[in-house]
Amino acid sequence: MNMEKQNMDKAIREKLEMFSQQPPLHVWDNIQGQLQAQKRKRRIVLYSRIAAAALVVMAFLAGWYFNEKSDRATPALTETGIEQSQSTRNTENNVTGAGTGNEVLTENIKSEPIENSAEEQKSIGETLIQEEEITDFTAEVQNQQPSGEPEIPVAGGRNNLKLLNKIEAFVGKNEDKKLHLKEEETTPVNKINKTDELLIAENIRNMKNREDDESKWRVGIQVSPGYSSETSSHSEAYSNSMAYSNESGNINISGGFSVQMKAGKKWSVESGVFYARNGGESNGSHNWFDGAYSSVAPLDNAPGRKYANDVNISDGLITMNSVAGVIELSGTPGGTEVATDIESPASNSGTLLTDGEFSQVLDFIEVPLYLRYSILDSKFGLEVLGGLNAGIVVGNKVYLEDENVGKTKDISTLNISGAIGVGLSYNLNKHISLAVEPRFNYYLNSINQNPDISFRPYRIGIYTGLYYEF
Amino acid sequence: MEDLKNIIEACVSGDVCAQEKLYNMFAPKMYGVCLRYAKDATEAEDNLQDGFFKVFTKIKGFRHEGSLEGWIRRIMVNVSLEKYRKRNIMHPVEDVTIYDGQQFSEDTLDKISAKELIGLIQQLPPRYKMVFNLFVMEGLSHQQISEEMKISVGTSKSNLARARNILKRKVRELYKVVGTNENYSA
Repeated sequence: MNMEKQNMDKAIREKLEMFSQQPPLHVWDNIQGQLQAQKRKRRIVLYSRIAAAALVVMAFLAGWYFNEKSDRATPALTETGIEQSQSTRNTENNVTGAGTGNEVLTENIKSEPIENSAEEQKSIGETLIQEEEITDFTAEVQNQQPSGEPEIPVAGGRNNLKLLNKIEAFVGKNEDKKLHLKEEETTPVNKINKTDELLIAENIRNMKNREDDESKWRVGIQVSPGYSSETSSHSEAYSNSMAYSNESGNINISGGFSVQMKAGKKWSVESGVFYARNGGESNGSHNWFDGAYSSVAPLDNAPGRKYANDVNISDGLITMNSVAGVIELSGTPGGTEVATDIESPASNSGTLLTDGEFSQVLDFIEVPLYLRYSILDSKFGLEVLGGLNAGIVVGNKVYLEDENVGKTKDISTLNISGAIGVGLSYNLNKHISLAVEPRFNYYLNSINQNPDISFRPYRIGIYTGLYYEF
Repeated sequence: MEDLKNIIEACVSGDVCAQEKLYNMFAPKMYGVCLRYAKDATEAEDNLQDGFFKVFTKIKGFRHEGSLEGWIRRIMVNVSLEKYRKRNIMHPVEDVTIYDGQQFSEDTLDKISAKELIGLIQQLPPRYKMVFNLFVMEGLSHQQISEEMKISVGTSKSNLARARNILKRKVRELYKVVGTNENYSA
C-alpha cells in the first residue's frame, strides 16, 4: 500500500514537475501596472516627507529671521558703545567727584539700563546715551544660550523599502487571526454550519478593519482647557525696577482644528490652526500692605492705592518693567495715581498707585507641525506626538484688572515652540473617533526681543475633541 | 548563468526590460505551479500576478545562495497559501468517504495528460489540494505542512490520504478503468 502511494506520488510529480503553460498576456500587463503604481506611491511618500522636512526648516528659518531682525536694530553702535563705556565711566566718576547733582546721578545709575530712560540719561551727557547700547550688547552676550535644536524623530528613508514588509506583516496578522479559527474547522462536519457563520462574520470584520486602515486623512476639532505659565529671567538692571512677580500661572481655554496625513503604517504628520492664550497673566506689583512695604505704606487705606508700581514717565508715556517685558501704558489708567520722586525732580522715575494688579496677556495663533507615532491602533488608539509650533502673536494686551490699559513692548510676532504629547482615542465608528490628548508646549526662544528679558511661556493642555477619518 | 545574474541586477534597479526577460523565462513554469494550487485558471493568473509582483519588489533580498527558480517557486507557493488562508476559511471541507480503491498502477496515470491531471487536482477540496501539493510536489513533511497550514499532523495525513483517493477515483472515472464501477455505489 505504502509502495503504491509512493509510486503514485512519484508518477504525479514526474508528470507535473516539468509542466509549463504560457500564461495569458494580460498577466504581464497587470504586473507592470502594479509596479508602476507602487513607484508612484513611493514617490508621493517621498515628496510628502521632503515637504514635511522643508516646512520644519522654513519654520526654523522664519523664527530665526524674525528674531535676528530685531537684534540687528543697532549693530553699528555696539562697537563704539564699548569704547564709550570707558569714557562714560570716567565721566561718571568725574561728575561724582565734582559733586554736582549727586542725587540725580545715583538715581540714573540705578535705572540706566532701562531702555526707556534714554531721555533721562541725556540730562547727564551725550556719552551716557550710549550706555543703553552697551547694556544691550552685554546682555545680548549673556543671553546667548546654546540653541539646542529639538530632535525630531524623522522616519528613516528605509521605511520606503519596508513598506512591503509592513504589508506582509499586516497580512500575516490577519492570517493569524483567521488561522486560529481555522482550527475550529477541523471539528466534525455536522457542526460546520455554525462555525461557518462565525467565520464569515469574522471575515467581514477583518475586511472592515482593513478598510479602516486604508484611510489616509484625519481631520479634527479640539478644545483644550489648560494651564499656562512661563519661565523667565531678567538682567539684574531690569529686575531692579521690575514689578514684583508672584504666581503667574493661570487656567484658560484654547482650541482649533487639525489635519493629519498618514505617512506610513505607524507614522502620521499633523498640522492645523490653534488658538492659545499663552504666557498668561504676569501679575505683580508691590502690595503696600504686605510684608516689606507695610512700614512705608500710606496711613490711610484709601481706594486706588493698594499697589505701588515702579514706573518711568517720559514724553508723556508711562512705562513699567514687568515679567513679560516693558509695559507701555496708553495713558494713566483711570482710578490710579502717579507719584514722582520729589527729592529728585530731574528723574523720570515714579510710582503708579493702583487699586488692582497688572496682567500681561498674549494671544497666539499656533500652526503645529507634529509627527505622530501610533502605538496602538484598534478600538482604543494610543499615539505619541511631538514637533514644532509656529506661534504667531495676534493679541498683546495689558490689563489692569479688567481694563485694557496698554501693551507689552518688544514682543516677537513669530515664535517657535516645541510640543510633546500623548493621544488617546476611542473609535465611535469607522470614521469618527473621540480623542483626549494631553500636550505640553514650550517656547524655544524668548518671545520678547528685549535682550534684558528672557520670557518663555509654556502651556499644558488637555486637547479634547473629535476626529474624522477618510 | 552570468546572464541571469545580470538580469537580476537590472531587475533590482527596476529595469522594465530585464523584468520582462525574467518573467518570460519563468512565467510558464510558475503558471503551471499556480494552476495546481488554484481552483481555476483565473485564480492561477491572479496568483501568478501577485507572485511576480512580489518577486520584483523583493528581488533585492534574493541572495544568490539557492536557485532563482526555487526562490520564485517558493514565492508562488506562499502566495497560493496566503490566498488559500484568506479565501477558504469560510468554506467547509466537503466530507468524502474514504475510498480504498483498487490497485493503482503507474499505467493508469500514463494515460492522463498533465493538463488533465492539473484539472483534477484543481477540483480537490481546497485543503486537500493544499496538503497534496505541499506534500507531493514541494516535498514538505507532514510536520512542516501542519506548521505551514496551522493544522495537526493527523489532519495533514488524513487530508493527503483523502486527496489521493479522490484523485484515483477521478482518474478512473475519466478513463473508466476496468472493474471500478462496482466500487462506488455511494
